[in-house]
Amino acid sequence: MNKCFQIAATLVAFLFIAVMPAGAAGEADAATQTAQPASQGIACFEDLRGRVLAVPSSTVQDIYVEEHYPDIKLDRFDTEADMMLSLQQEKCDGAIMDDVICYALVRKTEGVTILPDSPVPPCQMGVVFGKHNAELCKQFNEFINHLKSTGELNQIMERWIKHFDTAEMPQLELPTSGTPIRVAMEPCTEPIVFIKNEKIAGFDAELIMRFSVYINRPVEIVEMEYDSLIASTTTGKADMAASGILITDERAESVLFSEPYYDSHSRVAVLTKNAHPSIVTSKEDEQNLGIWGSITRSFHRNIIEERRYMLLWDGLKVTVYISFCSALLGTVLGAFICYLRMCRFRVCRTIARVYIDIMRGTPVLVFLMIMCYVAFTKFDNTPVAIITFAMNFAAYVSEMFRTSISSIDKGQTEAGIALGFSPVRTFCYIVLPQAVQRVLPVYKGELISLIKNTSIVGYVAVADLTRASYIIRGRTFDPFFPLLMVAAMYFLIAWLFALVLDRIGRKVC
Amino acid sequence: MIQIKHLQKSFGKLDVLLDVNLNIKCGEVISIIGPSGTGKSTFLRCLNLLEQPTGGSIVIDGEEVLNGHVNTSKLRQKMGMVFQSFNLFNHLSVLDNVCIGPVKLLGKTRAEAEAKGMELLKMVGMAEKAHAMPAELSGGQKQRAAIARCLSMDPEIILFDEPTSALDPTMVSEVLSVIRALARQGMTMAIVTHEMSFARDVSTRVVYMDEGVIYEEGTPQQIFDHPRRELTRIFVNRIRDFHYCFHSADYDRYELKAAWQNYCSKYFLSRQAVSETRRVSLSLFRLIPLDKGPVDMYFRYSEKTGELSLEILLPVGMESMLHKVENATHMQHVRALCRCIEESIEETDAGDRVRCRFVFRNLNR
Repeated sequence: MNKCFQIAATLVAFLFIAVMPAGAAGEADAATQTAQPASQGIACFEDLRGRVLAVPSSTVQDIYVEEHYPDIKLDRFDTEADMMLSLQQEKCDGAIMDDVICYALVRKTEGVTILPDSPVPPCQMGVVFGKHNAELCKQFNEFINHLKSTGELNQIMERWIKHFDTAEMPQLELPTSGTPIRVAMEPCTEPIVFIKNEKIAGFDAELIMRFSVYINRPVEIVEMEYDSLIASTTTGKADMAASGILITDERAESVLFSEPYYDSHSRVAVLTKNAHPSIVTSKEDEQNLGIWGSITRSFHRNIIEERRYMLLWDGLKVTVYISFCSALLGTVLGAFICYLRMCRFRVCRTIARVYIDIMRGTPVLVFLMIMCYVAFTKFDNTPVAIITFAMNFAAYVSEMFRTSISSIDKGQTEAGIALGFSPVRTFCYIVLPQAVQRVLPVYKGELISLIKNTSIVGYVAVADLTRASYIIRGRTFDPFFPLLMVAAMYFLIAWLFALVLDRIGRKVC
Repeated sequence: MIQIKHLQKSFGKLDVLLDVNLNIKCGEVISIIGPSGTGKSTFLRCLNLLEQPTGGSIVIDGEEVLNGHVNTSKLRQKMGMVFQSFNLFNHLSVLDNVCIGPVKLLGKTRAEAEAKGMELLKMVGMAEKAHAMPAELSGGQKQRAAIARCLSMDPEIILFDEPTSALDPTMVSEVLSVIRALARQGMTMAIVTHEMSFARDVSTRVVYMDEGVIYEEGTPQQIFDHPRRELTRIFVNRIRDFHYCFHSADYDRYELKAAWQNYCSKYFLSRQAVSETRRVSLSLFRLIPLDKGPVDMYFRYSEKTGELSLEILLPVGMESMLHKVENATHMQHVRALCRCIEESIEETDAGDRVRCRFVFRNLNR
């Protein structure tokens, strides 16, 4: 009876927390407000002086505004979707971004208006090639010039930028034979590159597909974080990179840029209620759906539409696969490290100790990036990530194994040996079962921590569960369901792994 | 069965066993006694090579085991060992503890091993607890289970390493009676123990170890009732010595007094014993000229018998003390307090000395 009540209370509390952001409750958000309220309303960029502006970090906009408007406080973000969220939550007064993205976002977001002006000079978008890929770059330039001359480029741009919500990828006969061109892309930015109906779409994506047909070579898309795109062309992970990358002198020093295919202007989005009435164009009000209505709509939009649950399902498989493999490999490696650590030779002990110290002293994210971008640039990221997690896991569990083995009374070993067992058999029959019994509870904790740690593989572009939520959020700008679903799924995975471990533990002991 | 010759063992710089020689014949029950830290356990552990001896030889059934060619696992299977701390396998039930050896080492089937195991457990009175885990047992029960585990391998000899030292006094007897039963069945055993009365009535031979060697050995009667050597006597009678050496007449009285008081309180001598022995020694020392060479005083108290005695070692050539004590009228109270007064000549490296021994009547009761 008491237990039932507890569960009910937990559920109610959970729902309450869940409903608050979904219902977009203004009162709750007002408490976290840091930006100043607009007295007359923002009419142009100048009015943002002394206020908070969200910028995509280390972009042209970031550098330009910081240099020319020192009195504007900048909040730097990795994705435009996060900037928009911040704006809606009134943590900033404006969000500056490339116009294509801005138009797309504003159309999806309620209560946001675009300022008529922007001081940041226009930039050109280009496709990036590694310096060693000059030949491919030349071919691409020919292709772009061809598109420009036929006017197709303008059509493509028009379609994606003006009508992006209805635009579809053209049905192209893609070549299947020949050496594939590996193209690095970050599919989280509408309408440049994004995932629609589980497929890659957007004008950069279309350009690439058309290029593929043009030179008659198949394309292999390598998904990764925006920050890694340019580097990937120099390390050889990809032959070219395209995701609305702006051409800057700094970047041009290390890589080749294609001919520009689009002039990108910056645009600033502000909240309509803060904007000066003169710039607000009236928009049809969405009907008020009420709390349940908005929850259902949010669920439908985030999970059901475009079969987005498939993204989550695929991510789930990847997360389970990585967790399982690295736990298995890490345990074996951990046992080996533990053996070295307890070895009678000093050299072995020192090697093991240094290994453990290094592994425990390095953030696993940094180590993962080192492994993917420095050590094993030529390999697929998923196995590299598995090895990385396994190595990290091994360092922790080897110490657990060691303490649990040495916690077994020496008399147990002596009794085994005195009975006539060899030292190895004594270890297997007598010490190991007892050590396993003792290590299981802490091991379980470490395993769960490993599962949760795998959520950082998104940084090296492995499409795991967290990454799936990221992609969905990039489309819907609604953090609630993707994050909550993913959290619940991690919880489930951890719980299942722990359950299996308990089973094994009961069998062994 | 086992011949041990010149066995040596040292841990780094610490020499524990210097030169141990012992023959163990089939059916013998040998108790190994001696003060703590004299290498009794180490000796036992050297026998089944839990410790690798640093020198000497051990010949078992005509085969030298210290040359490195012998199969130590097979050897240990024939030599059971019972530990002070029981060392039952904590993750296995009592029955599994008894079965693991026969199943994994002797290749018996599980059913055979269990049948035999239950029989052994019945023998040590643990059949009822066959399915209990070691953590649920009392110390005595654990040790009896450990003995059964040892017997499961059909050993030819069992080494007991202080089997009752970790036990509550109330549980000692249940373990000892199991060992007694084994002795009656003719099992060959070597037992390191501090249970003197047990050693006396169970063993066929008692070995007193001290100073890294076998100091004295013999039948229980010889060792316990008529020990021939000094250290054995001190050990079996649990004699506590108080020694003071007078180098001159100007000895440090306060130092002597403090040391004496310390000794008396340490061994719980009764007030009467303290005051009477003090009176006697004061009277006696009035008779001795302390400036004629060193005089040693030994005060001995046997914890076993409660006997108190005073021994004084004098240079030869002094007047007989015995004579004075026996005749002088002011020595009457000394005569009254002592039940035995003797005098003997003792040869030492520094020349002959006279030993006077005064045994007090029971003062400490």
